[in-house]
Amino acid sequence: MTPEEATLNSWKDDSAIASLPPITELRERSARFTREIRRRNFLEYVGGGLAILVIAVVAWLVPIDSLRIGAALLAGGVGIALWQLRSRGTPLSPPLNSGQLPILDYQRQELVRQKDVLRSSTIWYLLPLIPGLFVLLGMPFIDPNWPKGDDTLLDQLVRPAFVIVVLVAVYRFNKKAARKLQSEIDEIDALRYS
Amino acid sequence: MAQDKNRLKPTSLSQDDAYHLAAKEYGGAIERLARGYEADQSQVQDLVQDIHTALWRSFEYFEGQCSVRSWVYRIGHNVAVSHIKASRRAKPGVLVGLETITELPSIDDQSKATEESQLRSRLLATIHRLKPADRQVMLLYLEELTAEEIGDVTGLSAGAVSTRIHRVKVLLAEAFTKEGDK
Repeated sequence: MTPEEATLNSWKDDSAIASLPPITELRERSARFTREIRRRNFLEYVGGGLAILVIAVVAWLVPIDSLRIGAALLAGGVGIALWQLRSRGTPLSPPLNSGQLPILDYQRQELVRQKDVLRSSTIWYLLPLIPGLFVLLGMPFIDPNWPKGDDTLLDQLVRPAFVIVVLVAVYRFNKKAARKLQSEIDEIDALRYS
Repeated sequence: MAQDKNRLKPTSLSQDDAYHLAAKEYGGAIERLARGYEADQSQVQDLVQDIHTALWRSFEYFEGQCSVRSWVYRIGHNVAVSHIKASRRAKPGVLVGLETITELPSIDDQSKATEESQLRSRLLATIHRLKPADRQVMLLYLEELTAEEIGDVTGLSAGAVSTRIHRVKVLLAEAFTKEGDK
């Protein structure tokens, strides 16, 4: 017997193979998986819905027109970001897609999808929030009716500066993650065409 | 005969029957594949169940796009790659390519093991260290898929497949030569 034959025999001669799972169990596991996805989606919508609700309540309670406009714009922005997250964020499904594509093609498609979502996040995730944030944070400077209270100029500058820092950090984090995914895609391409 | 089964287009079968046929034929291969990806024994059965669940669901969409054999291995490996990506996020470690492995590792606790199970353990220990593409080629080679079938399942170029198969063969021959020398 050649080393190759001996190895192949040894590999396949495995008495510890368990029996096949009953189809009822697979059905239940699949249903559990679907329920889990639905629960996650539901929580995502509830989170977004709550954010919009809080913004709407604040706008309702504070009778300042510019704040109401800013809140409406921000609520709309959150809505757009949520809708885009849902429509762009659906990953490939192993049962639906993975049998039809070779392993590397399947993995590549999924990486490309994730990279495109991250790379374009400035447009669909950050940009819709900008008009609302701009109006809300700029109100002390653009609305003469805005009650100044005890805020100093520094207080008024710190808030928008903080939001800008967060937005820039999100932007840079997404770009970095997209670059990492691109390098994984490049590795796959090197394997496919080597 | 096996080839005929692989060419079968079970479009006339129900999803359950098509799955049952494939699972009966490839149940052992799925289990070995899971062990090749998951070193933690408690996780192996979980992965096996995940693969069977994905396979059962996939037969809702199978219309003979490729051989049943390629279909089963593609689903098995894709589910396993996703599984391993998730567990590596929790427990990262270094994976290597076939070119850097020069021999199968020895297993310490061999006193009670048969020669065959020793070899299997050494094979698994090697497979667990490999990068995904090399791991897939080695597992598929051990399941006796041809180079063409391995290319069809993995998406690797013919050249990349043959280079890796050559390395696997050298590695195995080396292991036997050293055993013989002892």
